[in-house]
Amino acid sequence: MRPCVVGIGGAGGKILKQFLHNEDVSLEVYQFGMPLAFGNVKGVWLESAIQDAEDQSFYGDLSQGNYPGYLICHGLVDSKPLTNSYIMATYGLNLKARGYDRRAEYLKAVFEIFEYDSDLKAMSSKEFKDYKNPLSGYMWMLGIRHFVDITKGKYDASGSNTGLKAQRSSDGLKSSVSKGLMAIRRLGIGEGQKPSKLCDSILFLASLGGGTGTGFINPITSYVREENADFPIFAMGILTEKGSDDRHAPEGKRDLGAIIAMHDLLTKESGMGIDALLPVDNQILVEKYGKDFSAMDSYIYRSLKPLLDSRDYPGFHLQDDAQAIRGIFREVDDSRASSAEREKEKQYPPVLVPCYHAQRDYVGSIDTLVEGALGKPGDLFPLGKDGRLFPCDPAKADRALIFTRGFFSAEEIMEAVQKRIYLPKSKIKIYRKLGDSKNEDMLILLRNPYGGTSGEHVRKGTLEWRLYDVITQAIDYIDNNKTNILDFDYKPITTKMLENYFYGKNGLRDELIRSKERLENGDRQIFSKPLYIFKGATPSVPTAQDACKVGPAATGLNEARLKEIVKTELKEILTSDECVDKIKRIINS
Amino acid sequence: MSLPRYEISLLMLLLALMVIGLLSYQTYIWRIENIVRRTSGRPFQKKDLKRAIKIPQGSNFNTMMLISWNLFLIALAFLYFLTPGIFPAWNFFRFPQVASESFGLAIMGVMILIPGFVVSLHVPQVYGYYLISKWLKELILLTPLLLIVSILCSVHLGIVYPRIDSIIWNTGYVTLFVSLVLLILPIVLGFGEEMR
Repeated sequence: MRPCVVGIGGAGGKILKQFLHNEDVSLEVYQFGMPLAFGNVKGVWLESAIQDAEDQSFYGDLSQGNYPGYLICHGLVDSKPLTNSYIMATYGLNLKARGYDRRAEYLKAVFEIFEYDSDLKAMSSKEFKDYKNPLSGYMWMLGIRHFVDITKGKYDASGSNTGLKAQRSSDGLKSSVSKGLMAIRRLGIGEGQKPSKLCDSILFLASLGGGTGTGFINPITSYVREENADFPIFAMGILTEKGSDDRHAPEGKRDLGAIIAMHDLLTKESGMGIDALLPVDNQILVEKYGKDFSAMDSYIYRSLKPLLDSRDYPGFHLQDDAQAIRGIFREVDDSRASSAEREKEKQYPPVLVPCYHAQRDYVGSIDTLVEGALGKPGDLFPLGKDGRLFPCDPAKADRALIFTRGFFSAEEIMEAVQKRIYLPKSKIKIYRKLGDSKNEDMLILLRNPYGGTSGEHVRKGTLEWRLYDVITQAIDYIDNNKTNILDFDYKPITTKMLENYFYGKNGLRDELIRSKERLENGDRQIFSKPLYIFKGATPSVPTAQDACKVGPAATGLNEARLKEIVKTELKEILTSDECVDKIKRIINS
Repeated sequence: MSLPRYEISLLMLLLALMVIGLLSYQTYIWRIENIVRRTSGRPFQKKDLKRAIKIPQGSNFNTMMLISWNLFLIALAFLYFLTPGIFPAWNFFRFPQVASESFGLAIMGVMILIPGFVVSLHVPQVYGYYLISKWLKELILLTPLLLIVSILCSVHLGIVYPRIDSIIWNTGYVTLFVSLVLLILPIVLGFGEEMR
């Protein structure tokens, strides 16, 4: 498996740095090749805060052809302000917001309006050529697509694509972006290099604290899915630690962001969203490393190395092909009691809890390796004593994928794992990689290790317990911070829709209360259905267009004529120098 | 013909080091093959194993290794075969037409590179079988510099011949020796890890 690792937001960028760390030596005079990352992975950092991107030296500007590179999410919006002006005027949202202040709903709303506002869609397509959405489209087409082997859909044999061609021909960006892209192609994948050298999957890395990382996974995934419904996409979401963080964002606010993100990620149907969510609890890493964030990032990276290592046992080199692994992730049990349960399992992406342990190869055995990763039976708390990266009871997993590096026979691995998690052989998949004669390590991905028994939400160290806590905190925040949530710089229509989304009948609050009940009852389906801000909250949601409608009787004009007049007026106002100056001043301030 | 025993013993030491490197490599591969055969559960050929254990080391490192091994051969030949002091019957000065050419030394260097090319096709890829840490890779980057010092020492000795400067010769040898140690260090360390 060779993923394109996409770090989103501040935390995503820092963790990605570990993945893209150059294993080759650097020569001052001349570089003979591209930086070499472990497992030959490629990666890109997507960030919304320009200052954060410019205040570091590891990444260069990807649009200028630098690798490893960062891409500013709203890079395309800078030179073309019309769509953003419309969004600011109509919704009070800003595509160029610098960081999202842990408001997961902000980015969710930004992306949804592109789905449901047809005027906006048309305006964006006109202004940004082939992009329906100038944020996610830009990040996918210019940031990620060049590194992945996505051969179906619009991708043609020459390695170009329609969107890219359109982009190359667009006047404003041609000089910098196209040149940069060509440079990346030459540097990154080489002219005429076989597609197999490209990445076979995407792995998103993001904090689930409610900021950039939380908001961008789903929209980019949607864009990828328009091209290819089967391309393997995985997301590693990092739940922030308990208590106050460095930016003094309250736990409830961060938990609300996390739960909105998890809800959205885990309620997208197969072929529409990600293929699996790998949750990591920062609280566990805090227990292990205190507040040493660099050590935490390094640990997350190391824990995925068995997955990324390309040194398969001889004759097993196809074992961890990303498509094959995706298939295992989404396998359904025919033995499940009801077909409805089977259908749900098939429909929504699974949760895969990573558990990792490493040891010197002359210390311990395969049993100590498994125990180091999964902990001792029944010993789930306190956290951080073993290799579980998210609280869970390993015995509840319905599948286990074992990635080892070391010299072990498949039989001894199977025996050691079965001793601990009691799964039948058919539900344990083993992927062996060769050791390096120094260390041996093991990554176990436990699929859906929760549910089946009621009352588990009170048993410390279970997944139900941690999620129950996160949901409780989120509900508390929703209940006690209505003003903070709604009284932002939004326009009335956005405030109204957000109110519906958070507090309306069958809105997020109601859904979270039901989720808590499901956790209490031991249901395997924690979230039941997708929720939208601008669609579905109430049946008669007025759109921006509806809100501006004026009856013909009141004006003496017909609707089409009225529309024409408003459009002309708006266009004149928005393109006038005075307006552009004002917008610039607002943005700069 | 009497051979200077001191320089010849030092040459033997270099050869011994190379043999140690070769044996370490062979034993390492043999041990890995045994362990993998024991645990694999599936038959395989040795070439499959070699393909499987290969770790990409990076273009910069590979290029530097290629350069280093070629420089090593040149430095070795220059130190022992440039002047008649060590091998009176086998040295550069036995070919006066070439030796008196303006680019005589360069011609000698190119002649050495012909067998060196064959060696460099095989030797650097051996490093692909070892996990080499970044600090070790950076340490090995010193090799070309040391070898250039060794070559310059030999060239100096060739220029001042028949005058003999043992300090310069020893400097040339020490840099050559250290270079060889650095070049085989990943192989020996890998073997050591495997033996533990």
